[in-house]
Parts: sequence; C-alpha cells; structure tokens
Amino acid sequence: MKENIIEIKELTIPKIFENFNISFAENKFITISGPNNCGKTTLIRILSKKISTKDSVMVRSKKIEDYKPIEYSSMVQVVIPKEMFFQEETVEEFIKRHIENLNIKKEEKPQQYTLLVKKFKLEKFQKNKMIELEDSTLLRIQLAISLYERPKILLLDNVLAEMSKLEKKQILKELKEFQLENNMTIIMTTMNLEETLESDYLYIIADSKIILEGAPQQVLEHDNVLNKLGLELPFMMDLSVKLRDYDVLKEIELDMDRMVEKLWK
Amino acid sequence: MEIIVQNINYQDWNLDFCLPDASIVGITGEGKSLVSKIISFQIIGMGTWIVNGEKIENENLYKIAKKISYVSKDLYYYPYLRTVKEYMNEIIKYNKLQIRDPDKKERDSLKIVNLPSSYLERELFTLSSSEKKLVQIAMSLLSNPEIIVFDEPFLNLDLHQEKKFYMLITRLKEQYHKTIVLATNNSNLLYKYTTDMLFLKKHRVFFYGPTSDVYLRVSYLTKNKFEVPDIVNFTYKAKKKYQVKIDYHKDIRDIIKDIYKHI
Repeated sequence: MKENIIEIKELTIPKIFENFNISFAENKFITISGPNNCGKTTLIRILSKKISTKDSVMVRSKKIEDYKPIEYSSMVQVVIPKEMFFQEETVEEFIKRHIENLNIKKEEKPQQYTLLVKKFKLEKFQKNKMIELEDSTLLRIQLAISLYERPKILLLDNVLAEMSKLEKKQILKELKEFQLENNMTIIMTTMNLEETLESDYLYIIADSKIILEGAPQQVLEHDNVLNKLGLELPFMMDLSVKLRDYDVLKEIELDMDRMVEKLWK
Repeated sequence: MEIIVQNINYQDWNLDFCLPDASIVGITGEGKSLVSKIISFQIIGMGTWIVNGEKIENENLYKIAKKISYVSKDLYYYPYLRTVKEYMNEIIKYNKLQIRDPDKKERDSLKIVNLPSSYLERELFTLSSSEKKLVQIAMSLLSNPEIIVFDEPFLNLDLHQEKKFYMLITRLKEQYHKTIVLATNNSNLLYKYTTDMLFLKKHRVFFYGPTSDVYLRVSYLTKNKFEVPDIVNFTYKAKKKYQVKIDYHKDIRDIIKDIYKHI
C-alpha cells in the first residue's frame, strides 16, 4: 500500500479540533467539505505552517515543525483567494515580483517569466492591472505562480466559490490534468459539493470527526446525513437520489440530458 | 423606496434600471461587483436618479447615498478597531450619522439580526464567518438604510446559515420595508431567493424583470451565456424534448411530485 503523504494524529486546536485524525494519500485530488466552522480553513492554515500544532502533523513522514520555511514552501504551496493584490500593479509586474522570490538563477528569470505566461495562457492579460481582472483570471495567475515550482502538495482553500459553473468546470479540468502530469497531491476545501465530483476522494468533516469519506459520488448518496449537516447536494445528485428512493430510477444519473431521456423516452 | 436609475455613467458603463420598492433584486453577469458598488455609492457614477418619483441630480445625490448601505464580501480589519462596538462607533463617526443614543442604536441593530448585545464586546477576529456576516448586516443597519446591497452574500454560508440569511432579508423586506440587492453569479440561489433580476452584459443592464419570468427564458439566457438554474433547465429540457406536462418549480420536492405524476 502507498504511504500517506500527510498524517494528522490527535490534533487539538481549542474550539475547533479535539483529537482529530485524518490522513491523505499521495498523488490524489482530495476534497474536504463540511458545515461552517468545521475547521476546513484551519486545516489548510495548519498544513501551510501558519498555525503550530505540537507534533501532531507529519508531512512525508517528517514532523511539519522540522521543515525549514524555504524547504517547505518549495514542496507545499497554498492558494487562498483573499490574498491582497496591489491595485495599481499590472499582471506582468505582479508575476515578476513573485518570480523574484523563487529559487532560480537571476539570469534565467526573464526567460522563466515568458515560459510561465505562455504555459498558463496569460499573454493577453500581461498589461492589464490586477484590479481589472475577473476572479477566474486572478485565480489562474495565483495558480500559475504556486504551481511554478512544481510543488508536491497544492492546498486550495475554497478558491472556486465566486466563479460561474463554466469557469469552475474549466479550472477543475485544468487542475486535474496538471495533477496527473506532475504527480501532485491537491487538497481543496469547499462548501459546494458540486465542486467535489471531479476529485478522487472526498472527506466530510464536522465536530472534529470524519463523518463520511470515499469516492465523491458514493459519499453524496448520503443525502440525509449531508442535509442535516447543512450541505446541499448538487441538483442532479439530489434528484437522482430522491427518484431512486421513489423507485423511479435504478441508478444515479448526473447528466441532465440522459436523465430526461431515461425518464421520458 | 422605489429607485429608477437613468443613464448613469462610469468608465465604459452606462446603466438604466429600476429597483422596485421592498423587493429582493439579484444582480448577475460580468461586472456585478462593480455595479453593486455604483448602486451603493461606493463608486460614484454620474447620471439621474429618480427616487419615489422625485428626480435627484448632482449635488443632491448624497441624500440618496445616505439611504443605501453596502455589505462587502468580507469585513475589513483595522488594527486599532478591536471589538464590534469600536467598529460600530467608528462607522457612526466616519459617516457622521446623527444618532441620539448610539449605544441603544448599536444594541437594536444587533437585535434585528438576532444577536444579543453581548456581541458588542466581542473581538472581531473571534467571530466565525457566519457571525461576521450578521455583524456586518447589523453595522449596515446603523444608518437606517432603505436599500441594502450585498456583494456575494452567500459566500461561505452553509445551507443552515443560508436559510437563516434568507429569513433575515425577508424580514427586513416585509417588516422594515427595505429593498435588498444581492450580487452573485449563482443562478440556483438567485432563482430561489430573489423577486427581481438584473442581468449585466457589455457594460450595461442587458435585461431585467421579475425573477419568475426572466429565468424561464431559457434559450435567450443560454444564447447570451447567462447561467440557467438547474431546476429550470431540467424542466425546460423535459418540456421541450418530450412535451412532458410538468411545471416550473423552485423546490426540488415539487418537481419530484410532478415527475411522479407524469411518468
């Protein structure tokens, strides 16, 4: 069996976690969901070394406290959408400022900039000011910078919340591709269960416990548990589960056109 | 308070629309955050405002501005404002609000959002995201606004909190006769919770109308790349493809009853 990339044991953070245990498998796209105040963001903050934990977190079999900041940040990157931007800064200035902090030779930096802009399709935004951009473009830029050093672990805290369905779909697809190409572990928190459907593994946490875990579609079949926790099922999942309970449908159908066909053809 | 906005200009934007009295108006599309800021005078656009039939222009705009509150996505922290009370006092001072008994006003505002007055002493960073939203609403009520504009109000609210939020804005609308404006791109929530809708495109209000009418124009919405609520889309497909006689509903349980009848 593959080793877990992250192991959290008996984590206690006053008012949020009490003897909380969770571990994450390597090279998977993992999503975490749960009601308000279940500790999703706290977990991301712990894993990005912003909250100390008294020896309860192991990353790649080493205590998180034992990593040096530079060593850790080249391995683990975090994207939190509320990060402040300089309003007057252009995309080019913003990206160059971040490349400055990276661990690459100075003479290679201009070349690396061109590569990065090309890879993440940001050419046409270079001269735009950060403030003028749509949320999805901003997120793309943040992702570009955080993925640049090819981290082993990417932490995303509720990054898709403000996007339209179409943008969400597109970004999830790109993330999934990048994760597979680069053998990376992605851990993403979200309140919207629809966003979990593309992931490999979903955890539902509440009251310092893992309430449900597994392949997203299987987890989402527990509509009563999820509703009680305050989580809303994606429409097609909700409809499928309920129609199945009424014996109208035999199995879950997430595609709307196929569902309509199955019901009325 | 009914507001008609005519020919408001800001940069490339040109806006014409109406906010009906005591309604819950949704704003969606590219530029929703900017337009919600223009409506709430966070950004000043030049043009004509007609309030309850009275035309208001230029130097008199501050009279409407005072009547409109803006609730941002998140509370901005200032290092020198520690508690809810300190923050509220600063709002009263900064906006030069004429309040006879500020302490009572602060307690009353919290009461409207169902928070006890003990919250006045709470330190801001100890508030959870849902408590923060309620405190933000209480703060927005200090100026007795007639219109409250929310940018992405449902962000980070779970289903329980979302329902509570809806009950609260409904009460503000019904009991206190306030108009509520919600800016978000989530069509499922807009369809469920608003009475009227503004759709933005190409730097203007592309079209607007009562929610239960405009959201049923599925092919028009799709053609113009606006998101259609799932429940509407499903019903539309069933009707169009197989002429099934099911009705448009807002609650999934109603649609299931309909499916059961027509299968």
